[in-house]
Amino acid sequence: MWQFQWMIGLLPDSWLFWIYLTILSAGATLYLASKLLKWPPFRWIPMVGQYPLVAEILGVVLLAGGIFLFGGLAIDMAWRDRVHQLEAKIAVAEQKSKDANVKLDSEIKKKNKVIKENTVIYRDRIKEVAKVIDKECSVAPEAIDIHNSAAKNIKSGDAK
Amino acid sequence: MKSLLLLIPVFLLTGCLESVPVKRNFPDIPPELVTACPELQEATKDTKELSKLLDVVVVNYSTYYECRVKVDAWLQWHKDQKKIFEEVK
Repeated sequence: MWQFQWMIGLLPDSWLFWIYLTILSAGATLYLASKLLKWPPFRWIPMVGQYPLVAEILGVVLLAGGIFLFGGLAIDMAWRDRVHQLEAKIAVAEQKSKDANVKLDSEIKKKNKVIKENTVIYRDRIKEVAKVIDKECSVAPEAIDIHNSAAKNIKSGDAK
Repeated sequence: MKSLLLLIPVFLLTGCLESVPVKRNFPDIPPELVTACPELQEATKDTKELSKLLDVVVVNYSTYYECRVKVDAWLQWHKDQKKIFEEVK
């Protein structure tokens, strides 16, 4: 089946349109002709006039096939159009997504810069007043242990 | 012969079984968000000075704030991308 679709895909859409229309028209003509072939003077036409049933069956087959192919082409074109529309929307969405990321990335960098700057200020301030802080207070080893345990989220005493 | 004509809609309806794939890429993530939050710092065991301990605490606070920025950014990223995703229908 896919080989048939692949071969059909090689033909331009305008060609397919006319081919399917021809099949459809031939089917309709043959079916109508089959009805006329039952009546004089058409039934006296040699060869053709003798086989109205064959013409009728062939007409119906061609008509059904033509409608199927013609409808399929119309649906195919409608889907392709929809795909193009969706692809265009997706392209816009992808660009919006990239723009949003650039904006977000810039905001993150800006906030991190402020945090880093503040950290430097706090650490400088600690250095400035270190003597004052350390003069009246000595840290017990237990305090370090608690701090480190909390930093690592482990039970107190397990910090190494 | 009329029964043959009934086959026409059956043929036509098979055309409705078609599905059209449209490829959609997963949105990119800002590079700042792809790294994990760092571990908090520990004070050295022999630390006696409060200033040194305070220094470690300050560094850890900044680590927390940087990580918070990252989490907030992830939430914002999800909100933005979801909105953009839902706009395409």
